Amino acid sequence: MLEIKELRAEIAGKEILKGINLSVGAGEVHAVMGPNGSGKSTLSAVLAGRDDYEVTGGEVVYQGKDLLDMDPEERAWEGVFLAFQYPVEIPGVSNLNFLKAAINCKREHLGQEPISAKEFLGMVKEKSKLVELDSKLANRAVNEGFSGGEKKRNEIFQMAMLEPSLSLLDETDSGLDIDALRIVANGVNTLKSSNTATVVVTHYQRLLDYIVPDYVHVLFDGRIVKTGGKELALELEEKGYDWIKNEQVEV
Amino acid sequence: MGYTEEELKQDLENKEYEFGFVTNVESDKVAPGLNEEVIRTISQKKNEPDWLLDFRLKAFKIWQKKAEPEWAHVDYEKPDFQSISYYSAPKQKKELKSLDEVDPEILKTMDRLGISLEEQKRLSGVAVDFVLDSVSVATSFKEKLGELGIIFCSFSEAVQEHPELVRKYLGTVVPTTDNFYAALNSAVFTDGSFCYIPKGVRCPMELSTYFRINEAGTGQFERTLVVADKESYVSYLEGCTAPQRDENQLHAAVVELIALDDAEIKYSTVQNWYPGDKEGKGGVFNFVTKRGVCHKNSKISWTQVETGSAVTWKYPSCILKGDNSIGEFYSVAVTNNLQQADTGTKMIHIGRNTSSTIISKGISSGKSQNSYRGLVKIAKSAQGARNFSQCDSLLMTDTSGAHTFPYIECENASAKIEHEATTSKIGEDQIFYCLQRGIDEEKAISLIVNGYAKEVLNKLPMEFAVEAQKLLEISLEGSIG
Amino acid sequence: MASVIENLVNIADKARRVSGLIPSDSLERLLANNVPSRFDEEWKYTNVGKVLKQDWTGQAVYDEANIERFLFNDFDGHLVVLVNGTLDLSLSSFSQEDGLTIKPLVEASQEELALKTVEIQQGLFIDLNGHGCSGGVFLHVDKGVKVSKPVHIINFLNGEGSMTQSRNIFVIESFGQCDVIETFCNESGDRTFRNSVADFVVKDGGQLQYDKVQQDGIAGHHVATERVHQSRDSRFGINSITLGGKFVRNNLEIVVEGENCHSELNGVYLLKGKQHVDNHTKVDHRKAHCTSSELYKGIIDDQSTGVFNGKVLVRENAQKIEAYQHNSNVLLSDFAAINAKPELEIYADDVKCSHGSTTGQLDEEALFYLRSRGISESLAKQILVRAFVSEVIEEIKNLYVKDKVAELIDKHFSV
Repeated sequence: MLEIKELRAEIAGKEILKGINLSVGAGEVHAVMGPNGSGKSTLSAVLAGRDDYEVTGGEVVYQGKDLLDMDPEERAWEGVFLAFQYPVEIPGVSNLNFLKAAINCKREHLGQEPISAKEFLGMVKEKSKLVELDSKLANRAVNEGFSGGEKKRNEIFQMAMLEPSLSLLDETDSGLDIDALRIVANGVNTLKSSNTATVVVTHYQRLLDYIVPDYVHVLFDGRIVKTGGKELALELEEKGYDWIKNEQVEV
Repeated sequence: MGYTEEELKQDLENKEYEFGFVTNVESDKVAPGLNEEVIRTISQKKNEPDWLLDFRLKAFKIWQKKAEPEWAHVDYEKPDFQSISYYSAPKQKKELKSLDEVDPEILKTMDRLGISLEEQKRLSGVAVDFVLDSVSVATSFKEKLGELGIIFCSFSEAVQEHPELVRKYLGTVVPTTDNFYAALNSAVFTDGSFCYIPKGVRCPMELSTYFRINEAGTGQFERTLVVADKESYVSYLEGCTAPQRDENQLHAAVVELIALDDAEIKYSTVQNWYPGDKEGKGGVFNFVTKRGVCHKNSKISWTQVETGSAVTWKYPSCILKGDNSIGEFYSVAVTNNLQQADTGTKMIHIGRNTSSTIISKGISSGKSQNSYRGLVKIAKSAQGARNFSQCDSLLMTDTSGAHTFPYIECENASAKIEHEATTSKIGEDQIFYCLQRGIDEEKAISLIVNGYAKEVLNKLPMEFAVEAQKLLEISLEGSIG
Repeated sequence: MASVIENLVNIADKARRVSGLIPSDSLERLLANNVPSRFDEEWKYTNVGKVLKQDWTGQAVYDEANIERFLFNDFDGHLVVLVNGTLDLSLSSFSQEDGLTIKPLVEASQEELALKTVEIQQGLFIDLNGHGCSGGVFLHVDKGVKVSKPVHIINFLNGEGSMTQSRNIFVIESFGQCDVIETFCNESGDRTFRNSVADFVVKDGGQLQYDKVQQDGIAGHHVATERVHQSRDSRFGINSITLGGKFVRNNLEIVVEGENCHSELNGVYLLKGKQHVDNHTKVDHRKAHCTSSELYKGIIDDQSTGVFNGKVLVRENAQKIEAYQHNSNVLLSDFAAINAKPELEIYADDVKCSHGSTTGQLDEEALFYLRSRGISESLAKQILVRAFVSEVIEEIKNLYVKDKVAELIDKHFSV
């Protein structure tokens, strides 16, 4: 589904990604772990098309298409979803209005009719249960006045509504207590299917207790330096990132 | 600059020709220039009573002594008041046979605004049965209003039919001495609208210029007078979201509202006059004096969506004279390209327990300058007065300016006044968030801007609100590079 | 008959001790000024004409300067005393610390007088001061020098009906650092008029904290102009405390002409009787990546009038500015009045600017709560007023000033 080859990217002249290689197949869950400043968030931002970052080399093929050639909204239409580490507040714009606009833009792109109010509301009702999102939150302005946990749940709610093929979860676990973590993970697990893929970017192992990855990649200094199964995450947790650092120094 | 009124007129006339209009021979037009004789002529042509002529002449004397105000944060070439013709009969437009003859650009805009096909025809001057329908519709409305004792007619008609009401209230809220433009308007106004709601009557519909067919050609010096008698209610809509081209470069209107005891007036405006081109050439100067007086327990609420005009100078205000009276001002002002707006309100608290709310949302784009200027005055007598003001500015480009000039004057120790203002940029992270959800940039900006302006748009009557939202979208088109 | 300005020029002529502050041919410019009226936007709420028209031909008195009560307790620092605008060495006690120069303005060279601040603000009061400057202090901090002790300048005025025009100049070279406190006071009861100008130049990485205490007596009139020029990475802070004077107008203008600067403006004004105090501030952000923060709080009692006019100007291309401005007022009497005009003038887009202004009363609930605990109404009010201004007082880092201000606030209520 997603093929990343030798991806390099920089921000303000500073190279952050120094040749990433990653292959994600349908039905798979990949975890990307790494210490602070290793380039985790840059990777998800580049995949979503944030223009603060300049791609200086490599390629990304998504469902047979050149992902890097697409605008952010095109990527979204094609089924790429990024759950933000810091979801953005948009005062005055209701959550539902926002989602309806997003769904209809996608439908327009696919040459479909706009969603009917009935269908839309039915979907909202169904999907909001998934992340135990209060219906009142759905009517409030996008992320405005939401708690940290509510924002993250709202991200997963949006993910459920937009039905992406490839979901990138950028440190979705940061700032969550155990209950919220469980709810969020449960949402992600429910949405998982043989046609979708999930890339979980995280600093800690604990999220992976709930969202069990097929592969774990360790990102360090802009490169993936280690790949393994879910046991790698446990090893990391136990030994800490210094283990990787030392290993790299030795190399 | 350097674009004269004559050139603009020519330009528009050429355009009109392009659109297929044919202007009539200007048979009934007073030579340019302003003097007592011209005013007498206007008054005579309109068959006005002596007291109104006196009113005009007095105003003219005052105007001569006044200087054009310069304190506003706007910069423009002052009009030459002696080169303007102060009276011309409405021009006859040739009727078009079908919409095919109308400029497709205009139709496109109207389409996007969601203006119905029939309405489009009417606005473009296409001759269809609808126009007749419109007359009958308007007439039937008029009959219905008449049954309730509501008077809603052109100002000229009111002078002839209800001189006692006009005489009683004209100039009582905006005196001729008020300011340069108000004095000019008082001297030379040609027409406008008049509305009277009798005691205890709740006007059953939004009074809108849409349904008024007899007020065509109100000209550049419009005069509006709305009187809500005790315990009455009226919602008045002015303007139109469709782009309005006008041959007059200078607009100096005066609007006076009178809310008697326990009455309520809601006055909504959508202003979309010709803003000039991208180089700042042409465009309307909109210098308007709008003010209402509130008697006991009454309420006046101004809502405005300002997207047009090259230069706007406008401060819809409330004099809260009666105890417990309420004044409100909700405004969205959008400026793009080289537009300049200096707009806001004055809330003058005189009565006890009076309260006022000001919500102003400025949006600056292109190379425009957008200023909020407002006064909150609490007189010594205004025991227990309350004011809350929120003035936000949103900057879309690094070449535009947003300014806030609030004046707070308080002479009463029991008053509570709160003023808040923020200036910020449209958030790049907000736009990216929308993009990531598959909402394209144009739509994203429109969502964010409409969200930002929501508090004000919500105050507009329903049918206006939808169009106003789209209008914001169109006004800001291409504002982010 | 001579005009108001001609009269003032005549008085200034006699008092002139320092020249070179303005070009020699500037008399014409000075005479071309108008007496500000209410139709001048900047003087809308303050009738300074009424002050200027008074008779200011009274003689300054140079002996018997009773400065005792204006000193700080156990002050460990440099003390500079100006009597009627002239540095009085016998009353002063300052050492020439390494890298710190303090000298009478008359001894400053023409180069030292050529300042960047001169371009900031002109007008009647600066021209007049430049024409008839009676003296002042020149303070200079060398490059990289952190002055170890604070400098306290006392401006004492003595002589019924007298007018004085002092000019103080402060130059902080790169990475220099200094704390300056200035007290303005007069022989209580004397009707005096001071037209003071202070110029501050803070060069790259320099830091200057300036605390100003205005405690003229009930007949003191003061038009104070402060012009500040900041270069990159510099910091300028001012605490402006106004407790005395019949008529006070403060003009503070800060021009920030370098990146990564911080400017901090705090003010407290406690007015009673028939005082009129007008604080005009302007922060002119000309370069990107700077922050400014402003907080002015006032208590207005009796028949006094307060004016606050704060302007934040962000020029084109001065991106990433974060500017905050707030003004709060409490009116304690039905005859008190406040006119506030907080302004934002923004020409750059990537900025975060906000301002707020509130006017109200002491919290009735809180007042009742205190009284229900047995605290008398007057004391309860005093407690709440202190609480109201404490937000600003807490910003005063210099403990001498902080203690003094606390003491003065107490006195304010006891009289």
